[in-house]
Amino acid sequence: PRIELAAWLTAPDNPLFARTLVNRVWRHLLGRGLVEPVDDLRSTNPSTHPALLDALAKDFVTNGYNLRQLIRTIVSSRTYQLTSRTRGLNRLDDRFYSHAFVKELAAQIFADTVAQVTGVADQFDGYPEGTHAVQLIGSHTPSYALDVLGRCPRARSCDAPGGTGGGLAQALHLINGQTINDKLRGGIAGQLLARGLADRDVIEELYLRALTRLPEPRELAEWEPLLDRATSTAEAARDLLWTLLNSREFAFNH
Amino acid sequence: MKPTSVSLALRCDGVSRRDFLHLGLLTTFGLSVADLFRLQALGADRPDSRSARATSCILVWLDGGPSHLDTFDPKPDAPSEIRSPFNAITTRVPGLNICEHLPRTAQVMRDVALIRSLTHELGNHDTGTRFLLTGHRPTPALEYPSLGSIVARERGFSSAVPPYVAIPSDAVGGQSNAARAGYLPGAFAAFNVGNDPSRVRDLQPPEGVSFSRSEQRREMLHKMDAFSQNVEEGPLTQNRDAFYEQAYRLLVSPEAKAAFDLSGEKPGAHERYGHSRVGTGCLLARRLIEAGSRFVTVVDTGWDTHQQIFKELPDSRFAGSGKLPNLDRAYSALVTDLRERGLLDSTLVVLMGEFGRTPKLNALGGRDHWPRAGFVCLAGGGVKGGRVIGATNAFGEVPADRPVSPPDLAFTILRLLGVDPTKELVTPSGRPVKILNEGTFIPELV
Repeated sequence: PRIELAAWLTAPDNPLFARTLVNRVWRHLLGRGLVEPVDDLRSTNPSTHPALLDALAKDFVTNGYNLRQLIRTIVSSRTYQLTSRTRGLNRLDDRFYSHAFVKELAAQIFADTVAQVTGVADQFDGYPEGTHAVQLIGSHTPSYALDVLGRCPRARSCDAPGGTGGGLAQALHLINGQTINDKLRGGIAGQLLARGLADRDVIEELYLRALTRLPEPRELAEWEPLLDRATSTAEAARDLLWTLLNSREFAFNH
Repeated sequence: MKPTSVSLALRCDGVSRRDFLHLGLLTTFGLSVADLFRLQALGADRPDSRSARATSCILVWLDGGPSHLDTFDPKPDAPSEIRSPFNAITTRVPGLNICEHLPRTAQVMRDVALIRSLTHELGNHDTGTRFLLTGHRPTPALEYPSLGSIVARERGFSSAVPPYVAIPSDAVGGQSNAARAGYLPGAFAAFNVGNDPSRVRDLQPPEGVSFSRSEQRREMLHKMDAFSQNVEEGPLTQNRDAFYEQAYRLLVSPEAKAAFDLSGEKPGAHERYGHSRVGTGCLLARRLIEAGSRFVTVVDTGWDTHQQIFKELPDSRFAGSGKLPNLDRAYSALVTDLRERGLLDSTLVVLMGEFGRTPKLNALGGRDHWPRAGFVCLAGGGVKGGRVIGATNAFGEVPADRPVSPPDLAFTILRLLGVDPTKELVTPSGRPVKILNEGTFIPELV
């Protein structure tokens, strides 16, 4: 029966499967499905862009259900590449893609990104060293960090809006908790200094790692004297890295 | 009724000057007869001055649905396939009997108003919980905010302690969104203290970071967020900023942080509540209320007793059970402690779950979901104790008298806390929605 199910799912004349999958990938990338909620495709819950959904679904079927191809198509679109900046009039648009929608980093991605930026990997029970949070199967691996960052507990579907998010507990954790702070000690900030880099180079390197951009002049003007004046440059560099990882810019895809 | 007197009555309920003006405008442009009736009804069930004293609420949530027949609504004369094997015992209130495994609770019933006729028709954990905790039948069209979030929004901060706290977390009713902020901004969601309420995490700076260095980091973060304007402002960023602000408000207040530290209790206090999860949770809840929280939900899981109910409820040797002795100790200690501290008048204590359980025992010696009959205990916050409101029929199946609906209960809880349940809020899409669409005040409580 599973083979029959698979055959039915992927039959070219099955209108549901391709649309569902395309819609979910679209939501993952754009922050909002063409149909919302993504688990509620029915005729009385229409798509915001029915022609686009149909075209993407048709393309997906034609390409033999190739996910990579689908993702390539979406991310190379103008829509995907739009800025999140708005121009006044389209500020309230939350469904017509007149600008990119700001997305919170998902729990696992946040954790992995912190590990990557700081150069200190997480260790998950029962998984080999170097396993990323996104590679964990299911949500049963204990991790307070992932819980407080709002991973889906999978006790039920997390497709509908209104998910947990971490709220105040998450803010406290990012300020004081282990996820960021444990990785500052012995992490990248100290290594950069040990390599004898100048303060400015350290700052630029940290910005590139955390925000994939160089600091603006006014940012350099603020942080350079701070590192210079500090009794412990290493501590100041760690504080700067803490700041970058707690910043609004780091917390969101924008 | 003259418009002016209507308006004055409304203002006593905490309606703002702006609403007052708004109402004045309505009157100027002609108030319909229906509106007038509605306003009259509002005036009629306005609580008297004694009942408006509640400034905070502790909700002890019995997650899974507590059996009414084996707790607060015993039916000793029912046939054996219905009757609880637990004996009914007398309480401090003549004529009011409850289950023998609640002996301490029996001693505080003079402070408790017991509703035995809570009834609705939503027999799933998810939907039932949402109905009880939001006062709305769930609909896919709109996610309604929980009572806690509404109170947090309407009453706000009274100190640095978060106004709405969930112990251990707001995951109730099988991970439903029932205890969350719904259409309100996420900033009104509960602070989830985490799985160990005796040690709330992340309230102290990390090892090796002094308080002053932590403050310096905060200043750097402030500058960083001001520098970087790359993220377009929206609901998500506003929530994030609100949570950071709340976090720092809490972190810089030694009094607020101390509220989360149970080691500040006198020796013996924790024993009084019991070291169970519900006991520790109730003790923490009392400390938080004392420090200024508005709404604290203590979630006690494990009441979904589909099998072996007569072993699981009283006997702590069964894993994850011993529900009744733990609850008895925690709840009676909470009510007594609040009274001794003079906090009971200003603190409404609500004890309930999403529904009762089937009067008829199932083949596994358990009881299944039964939303048509259930109980609620209310104490403090202006509620007059020592009384029973409503009754079920002889077999505990349906209300025989004075049915109370979840919206009635939600309406009453909000009103007791000084929140006007008929007030209109606005959803993110700009749609005006009343806090509650239905429900009336339960006047027998005050």
